[in-house]
Amino acid sequence: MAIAKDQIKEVTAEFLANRHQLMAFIIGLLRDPQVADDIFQEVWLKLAAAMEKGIVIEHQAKWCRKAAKLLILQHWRDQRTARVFADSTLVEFLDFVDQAYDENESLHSLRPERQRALNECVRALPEKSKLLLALKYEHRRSLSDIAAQVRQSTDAVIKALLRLRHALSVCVEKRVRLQELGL
Amino acid sequence: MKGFEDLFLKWRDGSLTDVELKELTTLLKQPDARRRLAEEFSFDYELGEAFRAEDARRQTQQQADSFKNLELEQTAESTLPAEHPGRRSVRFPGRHWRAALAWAACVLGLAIAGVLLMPKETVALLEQTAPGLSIKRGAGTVASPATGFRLRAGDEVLVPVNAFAVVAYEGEATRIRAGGGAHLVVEATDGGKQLTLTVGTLSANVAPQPKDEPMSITTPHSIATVLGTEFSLSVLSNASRLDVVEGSVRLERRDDEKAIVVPAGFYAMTGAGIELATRSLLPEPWSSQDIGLTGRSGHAKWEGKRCRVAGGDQRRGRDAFHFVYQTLDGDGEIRARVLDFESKDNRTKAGVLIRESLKSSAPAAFLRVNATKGLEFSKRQRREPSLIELVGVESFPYWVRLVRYGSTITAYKSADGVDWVQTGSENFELGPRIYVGLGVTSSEKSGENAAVFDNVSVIAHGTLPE
Repeated sequence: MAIAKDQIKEVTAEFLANRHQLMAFIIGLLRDPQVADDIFQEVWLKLAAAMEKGIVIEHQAKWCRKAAKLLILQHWRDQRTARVFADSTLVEFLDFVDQAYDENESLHSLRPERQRALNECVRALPEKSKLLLALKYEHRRSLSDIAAQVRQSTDAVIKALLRLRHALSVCVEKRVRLQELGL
Repeated sequence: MKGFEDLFLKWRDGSLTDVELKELTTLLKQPDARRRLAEEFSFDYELGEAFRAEDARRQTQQQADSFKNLELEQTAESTLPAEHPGRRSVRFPGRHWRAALAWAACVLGLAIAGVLLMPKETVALLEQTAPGLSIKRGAGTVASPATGFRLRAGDEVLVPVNAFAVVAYEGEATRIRAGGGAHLVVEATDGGKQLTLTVGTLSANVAPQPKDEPMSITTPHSIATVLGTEFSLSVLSNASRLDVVEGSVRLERRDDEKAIVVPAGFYAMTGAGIELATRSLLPEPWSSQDIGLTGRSGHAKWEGKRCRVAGGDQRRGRDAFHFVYQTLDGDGEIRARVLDFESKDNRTKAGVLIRESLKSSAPAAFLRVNATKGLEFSKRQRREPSLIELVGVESFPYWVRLVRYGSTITAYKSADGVDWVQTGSENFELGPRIYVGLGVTSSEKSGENAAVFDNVSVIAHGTLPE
């Protein structure tokens, strides 16, 4: 069943508006940006197919998360090599993450001004701190790898990362508030 | 039991044990922990994005700096006196024989490495070339390179207007077809195949790429990243346009790094003042799909009042073509002007169709232009082979028209779209709803044939057959 052009536009716009939230959900669970990107695209294709079939989706963000959840589970099942989790625990964990998003949707709209503020805060960090964060969040290195590279203990790296995350979080809130006040 | 922070950090690190996963799951029964987890997921993602932005900024800065350094070096070189040849020779006094030996070994090693590495310099091949095509390599230019010319990183392919070139990657089916007037730079393949299109149009058929090495094509306005799909990319004066035929492509606007995923059948544009959004390639009520088993997928797009349809190859005499269609209830007609083909051999065909259904064996009438023969009227009844009749040999453009009246389909041709001449008629078993549209097919040799139509109109006569 073909659907109206306006409706396609509307569904696409809603998907684009929620894409960061969906990507955060997928990447948070998978921790691999490339695989996350594949699953994100798969979700979009499923949504497009549902549109084509004329399926009415009441809550798109929720629907996309459910679709992503199934794809993630499938991926985990396909990838079960060295690390084997009991399926039931993993499914339960996945359900809780989904529930966390359902309950806190308004909290995680991932606004562009917040992202801009975070970009500025990261830029303002000392080079050493930037390197530590980059190793973790850009290069996705393990804590033990980072510890070896920066010649510190894993505990020290954990502490430093937690401290930096907290500092960035405070910096973002401050900048967003200043922006809101027009300063 | 460990705290949420420790467990979450281990989850993120991928070092969580089964027991710890159970602990984390138990903690998530509390609403506060769930709220925190959602916050942490978002913050992690935002941090990743921040570093991506920072990396892009750094790269831009480095590029700007290297350009600045290059300019400075060039200025400095131009002011230096020419070196005396003798000053460049290297002399090894007798007591420094070890150094001489080391130097010789080094030179020999470099020479061997150079020979071994030479073939690896080739990034891609020029599979199809055209008269007037040239390759710019460094300061030199290779005029009219032969088919099979090995392209290196940094080579610039300059395609003349009214021609096209095909760039192929060895060992896979990826093909890039650069259209007339295109300026395409083949980049190094570190971390994935890369191309830069500074002007013109290209269409790409990308074989599945390694997950961590997607192919990317950069234009002045955007970066298209793809893992394996079929699409075309055009650089206009103030914008870039991406049309996706199959799969999906991530398109990033270079100005602000905003990105979207463009799925099959949609296009997106980047440029100043243009909203970054996906838009359908075909306007309502048109749809398009391949009929039968085509060797490659066809695609179609509307550009203003023109429709460009590309169809895959026809095999074993069965219906296999790309069909841009809409449904028509009752009597009615379709008319169009076939402007031209992009490739011409005896199996490339384009025209108007009326079909009973979208099945490859459905009763159908196809009034089409055969690139080498002229105008053909093809008719096929249920469970019967097609009968093809040559109904005219004229030059492009061809005006074609099919009219359904009850169970009769009549074919017409015209020189101007005003005076129509009947060229054939046939009775068919047709239901009240039929499919009318444009069809394009090609041969296996040409791979894909695209035809351009304009003045396309579907007219419903408003009467249902008895």
